[in-house]
Amino acid sequence: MQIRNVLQTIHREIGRCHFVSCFDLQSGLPLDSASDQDRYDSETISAAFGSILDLIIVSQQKARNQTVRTILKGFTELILETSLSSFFVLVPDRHIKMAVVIGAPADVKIGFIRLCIKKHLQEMAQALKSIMA
Amino acid sequence: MSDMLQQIVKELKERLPGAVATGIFSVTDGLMLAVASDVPETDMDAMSAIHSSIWEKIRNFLDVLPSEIVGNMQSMILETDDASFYIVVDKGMRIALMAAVSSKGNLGMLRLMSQKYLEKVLELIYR
Repeated sequence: MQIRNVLQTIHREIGRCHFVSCFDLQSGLPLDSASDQDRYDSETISAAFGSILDLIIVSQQKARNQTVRTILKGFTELILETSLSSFFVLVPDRHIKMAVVIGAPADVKIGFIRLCIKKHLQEMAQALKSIMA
Repeated sequence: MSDMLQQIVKELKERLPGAVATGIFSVTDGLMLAVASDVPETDMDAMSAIHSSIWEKIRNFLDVLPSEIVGNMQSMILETDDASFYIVVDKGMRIALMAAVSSKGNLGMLRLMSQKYLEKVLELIYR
């Protein structure tokens, strides 16, 4: 399954969603996205989320304390909640340096968004692997 | 007040199922106000610095995205293989409460109790 199809499926299942996007963790460049609204361009989204993931990756490598480094090394998911929206960043497969980001209005329950994501995690990992192949 | 803040984080860590660490930070300067941790050799200065950097990045993130979808920062959940971290901040972006639970912990309980204890902290500091 192509990554765009998976992103569109997640976008459709969540229902009201700002964007579902996928980007390369090493370059920070967007790979693909699904969005109803043109104003949320994938470059802006990637730039915003890239800085946060960069922090996690840098912290893993530079944290002096072994425990802190170990904790951060196993990063799988980040959820940011604001007064207007919820933003998800997840790495479906840590061997593939790609992340999927999702933004949805705050009134869409984060448990529901998480459920939709988890449901398609395997497909996402497969689709990302096929990009690398 | 320092003892009372310490008591609050200790109580939260004891009552929260699977909790390994709890702490209170000042958002503005990133300094830690109180902490209770089971993690051996926890470097409090390093934790404060990491926490401060995280908030700086989050501010950058909020600045980049369109303002009509961003609003004010409320909380952050960071999940790793071994633990879940929850940081909740007050509306004025002054104080943040952090709680970490092991993978056996429950996210719903983590959110609920952290928010409840942040209110206690705010009442103590700003009443």
